[in-house]
Amino acid sequence: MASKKPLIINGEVQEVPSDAKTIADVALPSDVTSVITRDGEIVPRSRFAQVPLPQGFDANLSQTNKGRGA
Amino acid sequence: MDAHTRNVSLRFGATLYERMRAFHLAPGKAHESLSYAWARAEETAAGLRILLPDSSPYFPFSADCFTRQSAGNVQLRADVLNGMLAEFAATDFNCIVNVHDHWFAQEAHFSAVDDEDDARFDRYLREQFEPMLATYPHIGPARDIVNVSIVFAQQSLAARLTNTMHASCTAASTTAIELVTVLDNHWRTAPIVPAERTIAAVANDEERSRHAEFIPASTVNAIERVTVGLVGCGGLGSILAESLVRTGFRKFVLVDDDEIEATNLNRWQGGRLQDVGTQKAYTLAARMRGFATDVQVTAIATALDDDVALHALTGVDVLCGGVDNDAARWLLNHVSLQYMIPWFDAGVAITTAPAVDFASRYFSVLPGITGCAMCKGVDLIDHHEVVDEYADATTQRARRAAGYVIDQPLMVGTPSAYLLNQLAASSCAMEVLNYFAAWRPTATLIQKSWRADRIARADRENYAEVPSQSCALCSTYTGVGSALALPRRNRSVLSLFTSSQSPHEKEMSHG
Repeated sequence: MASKKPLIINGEVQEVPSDAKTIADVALPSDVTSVITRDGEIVPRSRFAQVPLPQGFDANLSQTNKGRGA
Repeated sequence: MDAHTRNVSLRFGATLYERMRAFHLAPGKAHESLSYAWARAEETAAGLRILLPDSSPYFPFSADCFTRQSAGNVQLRADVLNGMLAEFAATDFNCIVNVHDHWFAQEAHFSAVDDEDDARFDRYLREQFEPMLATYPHIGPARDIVNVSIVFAQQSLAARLTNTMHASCTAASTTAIELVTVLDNHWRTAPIVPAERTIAAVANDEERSRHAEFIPASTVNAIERVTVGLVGCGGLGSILAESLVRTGFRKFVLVDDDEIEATNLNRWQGGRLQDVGTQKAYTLAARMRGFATDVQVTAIATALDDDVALHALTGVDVLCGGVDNDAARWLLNHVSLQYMIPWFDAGVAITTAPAVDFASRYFSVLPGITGCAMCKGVDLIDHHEVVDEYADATTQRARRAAGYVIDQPLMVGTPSAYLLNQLAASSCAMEVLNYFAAWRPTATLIQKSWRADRIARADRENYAEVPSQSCALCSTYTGVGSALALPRRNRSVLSLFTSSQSPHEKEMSHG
């Protein structure tokens, strides 16, 4: 079990309830937009979503899906 | 080779590795994230090696790139993925690395969802993406794509290769990456799952028992796992090889195309009269196998720029140079940079005027961390000598014949430099060991003068040099692998105009 530590979400310190047993018990705001990393360089959707696909490009129609599926 | 039986390793630049960790394990992070990197996958003698230098394109995606992002799941938008794939297709990168995190876990493991997603994406690569490149050259160069996945957790990472084309009915299509190296000031491996194999009961091993009190078990494990590429098996290299074996290194690739001559016996470690006429690399390998029970040596008696030698060297973990010419150092500099291999070089010189002095020199190149041999701030390589070597084989032979004497090359024959070679080899071996043990900052340059009784030592603490921004080699070649050709004497443009030898004659002259 990981030791408890404060969460900082959108600049606000969040507490993990002492009786939290699972990830689902951690209260998360629904409007989390980002976590700022050290170098702050995050790629926005517009970086790639607007790339014109060349003629003949065989697109991947599946969504990339990682994690535990929660 | 079947995907699930091959050796696969991954080599990170330290800055990129820390950037990935910072993105995926940022303090306060409470949802999974996904990022991608483009890399180069190289088939080496030691297996497939994935090169991820600091300059690798890396894309940590923001929240608006996902259709779903929760504590335990992340789903990337198809338009983002396809835009990235279209740009990837147009490059010459041959490896795409997807990275996500299980930020809530201490140890990293791929989940069933990850398994399914990796297989699905790989089928797209094999059945659609690669055939598309083969059909439409305007989209990008046709090539086989290496599909790598990494998952970070708080204490470890897991990494694997997926290739559904290599899957059999019974075997999985994934191959665990067993070694993840982070190029840093000292030897560093990322904590991976499954854990690296360790060697138990070091203290009970009689061959190593006297080291156990001062060489940590972790260092012993590391140096027994790595492969050292030793280039130059002459007077200096023969001592260096023996020093490294007796220190605990166990796997070697030796490269030298020279034979032992009678004049070498005054300095060739362990050389005997009956060894005259034998290949230095083969004879040294035979001696090394007798030093310990588990020494593994591959001896290659060809020129350094021979295909066989270079293929073997691109798969080693550490390069050691005991060469006697700067053209070889120039090539080693390229191998080190292009394949992200730390390189430790030893050299000696005897001057006779105004008075005899015995000088030794050591330097190291840590690609992406230090300057390379051409941008260190001190002249380590005589560029004119390199040009001569690559342009004119006759000049090369004359320079080699001059031996160690640098101030009167045409007047004094090769001296008996055994004592000086011992000094230089000892210094180099000590620094190689320190690179793994991290007792003190890694030395980047050491110069010793016997007459002046002077030792000048620069290391990562007192002179933390970095690759020069104006260095064309560091900026262009670091981590490119075989995407850019290594320098080759017989293939240089200049040699085509300055030599009338046939390729066969050239090979004979170097062999």
